[in-house]
Parts: sequence; structure tokens; C-alpha cells
Amino acid sequence: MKIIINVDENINETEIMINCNQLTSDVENIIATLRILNQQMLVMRDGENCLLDVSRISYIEALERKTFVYTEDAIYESKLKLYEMEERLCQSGFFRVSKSCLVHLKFIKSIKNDVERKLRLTMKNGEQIMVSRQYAEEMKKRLGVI
Amino acid sequence: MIRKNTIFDYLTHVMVVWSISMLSLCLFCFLFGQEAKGYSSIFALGNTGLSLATMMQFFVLAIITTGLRWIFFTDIFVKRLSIMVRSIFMFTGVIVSVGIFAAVFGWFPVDQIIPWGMFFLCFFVCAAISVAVSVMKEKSDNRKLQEALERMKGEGHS
Repeated sequence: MKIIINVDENINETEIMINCNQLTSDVENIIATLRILNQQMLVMRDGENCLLDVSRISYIEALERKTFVYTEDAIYESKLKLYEMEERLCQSGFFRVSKSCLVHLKFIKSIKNDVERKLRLTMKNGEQIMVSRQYAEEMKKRLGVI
Repeated sequence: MIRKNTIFDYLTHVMVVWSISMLSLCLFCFLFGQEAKGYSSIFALGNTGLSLATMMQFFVLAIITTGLRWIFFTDIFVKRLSIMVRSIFMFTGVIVSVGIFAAVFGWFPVDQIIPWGMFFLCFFVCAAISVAVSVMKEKSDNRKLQEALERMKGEGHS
């Protein structure tokens, strides 16, 4: 694959163009990665709105009718419902792991079976998240182990 | 949609454990009942069948072992514990229960060392094989999951 980077002071907006003879899975992966890099989400922290890069989100949790967005070093709140988050992020490497949690694949360090056909995820920061039975089957299918 | 465990699941498991115990005991009763008549209360009726008392004792034991399984192999009571540790606790609970039943109901001569030795030997061999198989299967499954995760990450879904 040839990568051409053209640096020109006269270009006002950064543009990425992909030339290919067909849309292969490799090309789709590049597009998905670019989409994440380019994606931002409006969140709140300490009562102030801010834009958070989706690529920094490790997981999202719904608690008591609120939606919390976790990065490795901070917690934010979002006005979006979990199902709305899922609709926006399912193509960006996020998995639904329970009724109240979405996890970003990139931040999963290890995955193990647990009792009652559940899965236990260990995140890069050491946190552990359980995948409920209902979503464990779906996750295994997506991982291609069943 | 996956449903939650109910009391009916518990009772179903009790009945399964009890049925297997009864079928095994019937076989032993048929094969060795007459010889064991004088030594074990389980075979008090010789090779003609099992007594009601024996059947009820094993029913209570099935309730206890199913209870132990629910304690150690669901996350209702124990949330975070490895499968190997769960298995060790489970088998320890079962061996203690069976030991107490054997002593109380005279399943074998409790004042002799050899029957106890045979009991512990049989139980530990079965438990060790069971734990070893579970642990190997768990490790193999976990390795496959981890490999699949790494593969998916490598494919650029991150």
C-alpha cells in the first residue's frame, strides 16, 4: 500500500483521499480507524461542556438514568442515552457488554470466561467489567470463537 | 433473551443429581449389595433394593450439593473467584457433607481407617480429575478468546 503525504501551507483543511480498485476489508479498517480519530463527543465535566475524542473513551456506563463516559484518567457525563451511544459507536470498536455498559475494544487488556457463561474483561487500567450472559454470546460471535 | 435461575432450576438440578445417585446405587446394590449388607447401611436390604431411609439420605445430600454448586458456581453469592478456587471450595464442601452423612448414617464402618482411606482416595481422584479437566478447558477457552481479541484489535477495530 502506498502512502502519500502532501504538506502544503496553502491547504486550508486537512483532506484524506483513498484510491483503490475495490473496497477491501483492509480499506474498510482504515476508514473505520479514521472515523474514530475524527469522531468527537460532547460531554460534561464539572458542569462544563467539552469535546472528547471517541478514541479516548474506554467504556460508557448508564447509572441511575445518567450516562457516564470513562477515559483512562477521567469520568465525564453525557446527555445521550446508552442506546444512542451504541448506535453512534457500534462501528467504532465499541461492544455492548451488559444492559448498562458499552466497552471500547481497544481498551480491553484481557478477556476470560467466568461462571454462568459470562465473560470477565480486564481493562488496560486494571478495572474489571463483567459481560452478561446475554451479551457474552454476542461478543463471542463477533470475536469468532463460536 | 437469557432468563435468570429460579427455584425450579434448583429443584431440577437436585432431581438430576439424585437420579444419577440412585441409578449408580442401584447398580452397586445389584452387583455388591449382598456382600456389603453387613458393612454398610446403604445396602441394608442386600441386593433386593435400597431402603427408603437411604433414598431420603441421598435426596438431602443432593439438596446440599446443589446448594454448594449454586454458592460456588453462580455469582449469586460469590462474585469474583477463579474457577479453580471455586472447584476446590465446592469439592471441600461436598467431601465434608458426604463424610458427615457417612458417619451419621453408617454408610461404611467409620471406626476403621481403611474405609475412610478408600473414601478419601476415591473422592480425591474424582475431584482432581474433574478440577484438572475444568482448569485445562478454562485455560484453552481463555486462550482462544484472548487470541480472538488480539486478532480483532489487529484488524483495526480499535
